[in-house]
Amino acid sequence: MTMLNYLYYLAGGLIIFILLIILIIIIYHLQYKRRNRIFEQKKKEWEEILFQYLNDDLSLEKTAAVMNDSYFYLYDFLKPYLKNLRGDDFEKLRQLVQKNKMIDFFLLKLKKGNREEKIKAAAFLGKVREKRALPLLKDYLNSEDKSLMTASIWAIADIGEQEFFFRS
Amino acid sequence: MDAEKMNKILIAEDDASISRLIAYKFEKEDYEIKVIEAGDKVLAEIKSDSYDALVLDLMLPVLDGMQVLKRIRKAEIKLPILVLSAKSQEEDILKALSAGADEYLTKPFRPDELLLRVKKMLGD
Repeated sequence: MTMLNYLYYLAGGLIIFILLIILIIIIYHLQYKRRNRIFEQKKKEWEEILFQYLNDDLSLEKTAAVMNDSYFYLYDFLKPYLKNLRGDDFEKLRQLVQKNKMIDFFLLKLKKGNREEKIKAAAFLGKVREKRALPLLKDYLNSEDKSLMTASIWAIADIGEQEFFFRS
Repeated sequence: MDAEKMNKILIAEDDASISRLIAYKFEKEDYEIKVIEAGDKVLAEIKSDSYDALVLDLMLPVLDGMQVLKRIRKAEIKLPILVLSAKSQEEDILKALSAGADEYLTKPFRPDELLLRVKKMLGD
């Protein structure tokens, strides 16, 4: 009888555990879908504005006024342009992220954010070649967190300060 | 009133953000644009519709840009082709030009320069 009770409890515990895992997966999936939906909405809103700005049809001030929130979404949105554009167009993107305080936001995240935020901040600041990030990025080269260390190496390389690796 | 014929450009580029930016730039200059994201559809598209030029990325899904380029030239289609690619090694550029590309532009790029090079190819 005691053995049977024990088996009942074990089976019950297992069922609850499986249900919990399913619940976590559902919540994660819903959050992922919600994030994608928000991103797609914002992308649609920002894209036309950005193209007008890059084509000199909209001022820096007006563009920065529209693109001044949701910096993590904004980073995902700007990533392909930061990667694929150069010259005047890249400079315009840099001016935009300076004007809308995105660089300041990510400098703060690089210093005080959680692990994920620091990694994303390192990648962003590298892409926009923000030299003020270099001292912190250099500190993270000694981080035990391999992802943060790797993100910092790439960021320093993007900024173009290779000699940083060899300084004492 | 006679409407002037618009030049029709096919963009083969798998990064939708970049192809939309290129399309925006060209449409502003009165070009007609069609975008294709996978390499295997390019040849069929060129055969089914008449285009004045092709902007071709080399790293396309399903069939890469170099194979697309070779197939177009093998089919003796004399369409002006500009390769737009992140591959910036001299060897890659020479390979593409030998395979029949008319122009080669490396990423990162400037949309203005792309537009000028396409105009030059078309003799505009």
